[in-house]
Amino acid sequence: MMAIKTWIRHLRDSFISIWRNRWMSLASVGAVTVTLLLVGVFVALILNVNKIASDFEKDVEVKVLIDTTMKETKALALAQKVKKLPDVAEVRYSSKEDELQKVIDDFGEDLSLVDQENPLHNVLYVKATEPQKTADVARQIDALKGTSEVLYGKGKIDKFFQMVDTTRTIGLVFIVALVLMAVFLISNTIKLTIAARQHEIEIMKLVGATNNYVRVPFMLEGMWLGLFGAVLPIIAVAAGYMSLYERLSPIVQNEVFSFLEPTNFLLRLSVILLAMGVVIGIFGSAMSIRKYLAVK
Amino acid sequence: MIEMKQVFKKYPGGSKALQGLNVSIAQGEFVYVVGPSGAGKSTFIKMLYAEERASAGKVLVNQVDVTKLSARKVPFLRRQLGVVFQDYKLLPKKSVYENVAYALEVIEKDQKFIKQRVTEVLKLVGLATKAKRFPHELSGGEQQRVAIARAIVNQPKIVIADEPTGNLDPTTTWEVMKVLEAINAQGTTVIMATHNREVVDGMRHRVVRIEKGRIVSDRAGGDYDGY
Repeated sequence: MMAIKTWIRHLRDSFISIWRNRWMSLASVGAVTVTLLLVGVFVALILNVNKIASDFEKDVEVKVLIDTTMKETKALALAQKVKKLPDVAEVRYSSKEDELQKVIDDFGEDLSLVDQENPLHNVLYVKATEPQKTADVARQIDALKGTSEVLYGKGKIDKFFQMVDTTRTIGLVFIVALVLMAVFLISNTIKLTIAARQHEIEIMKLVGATNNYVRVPFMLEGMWLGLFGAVLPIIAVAAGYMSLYERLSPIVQNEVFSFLEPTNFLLRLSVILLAMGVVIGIFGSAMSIRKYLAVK
Repeated sequence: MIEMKQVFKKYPGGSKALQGLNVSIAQGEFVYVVGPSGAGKSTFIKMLYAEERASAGKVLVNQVDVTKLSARKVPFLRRQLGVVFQDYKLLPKKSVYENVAYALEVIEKDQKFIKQRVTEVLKLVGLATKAKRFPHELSGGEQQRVAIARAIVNQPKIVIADEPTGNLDPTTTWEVMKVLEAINAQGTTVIMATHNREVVDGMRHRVVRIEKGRIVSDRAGGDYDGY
């Protein structure tokens, strides 16, 4: 282990080196900034898609239309029966009068069916313990007597979840590609500064410096560059997200989903971006210095 | 102290730099290594601090066989030696003081000790007033004295110099030689590869002459031609 005074020397040397190679440093910071900006946008997008998806998942329910011939008391008994089925979390009964009221609420009173006898069914709304079990639950209910139809948006829901999965995968691939690109960019810029300092490294080794002793200041330098590179993206993504959130939240107020609340989310995102910057910086410089440390 | 037994060195291209070298150097000796260019002087010197590795044979430095030293341990060998080069090899972006101090920072000495020791050594080589200058602001002789200061700051038992006066004019050559003599007078072994006939003939010491990868003469107090 290195002594504290050695770490202090390395810290000092890393700052001196950033300053003496300030144009290269600026280029490296720029590379990290651009990448992390894109990463930040993608992460924000993916996490929100996840949130919306899980909001939808929670909202998935099975709608059971009860035979019109069945009396209301019997319908309530059926509700009890459904409740005892495995994987059923919640059963809500809605009479045909309630259903009619809903239709009127949605479409207005100007409907000819108001004059006639109520053609609607008594309905059970059923939620499964897990969204993926919805189809199972629907099948079981369908097998019971007294149900005329069981609806849960079959294909549609499956398709929606498929889409969410695809979005997640594509987003992740993009992020990984971006991070690799950043590592490459920063390691290339640092490589240029190191090539200029190859002579220095050689001398350090001749004086008896271990590989670690030579390497640590460079890695610290990379760490700082990554850290500085994360600052602008964090500010930009935070500002952008907050203004978007303020504008979009009122619009989706009555929907089943909502966006991630900024304070907590942005704090996490900042930590992610900072950590990424640091890792990219350290990894980039470690990669570029490896070649120059080889000894015969 | 230093011992070579049947040392061979073949370079990847097939050229044979050393062909069975045997030599033994005791603590406190001053040894010139002379010979024409390409005879193997440099290879001989570089083997001592593991810049080159022998293809066969043994190279013992302070009882350690350098030929078997792992790459990880090379830095620790170098800390026991002081090495001086023809082209000085000073860190260009560090001041005179920082250059000398670096050798002590590497071995994690205290700041206070470093300050005291570096000041002392700079005084010894006559550069106390130029501690804050940068290498490019100094003459060749001064730069070489900084390099010597760096080589001895850690008080090594052995100082190895590869053509230390190769780039210097006669006046500064003597400045540098005086410093090396003074170091040797304090009991440090000095091994110096050189082309400089005046130096070898003027300051008599043991002369090891290498030609075509072999030692052709080895004489205490000899002259440049091996007599």
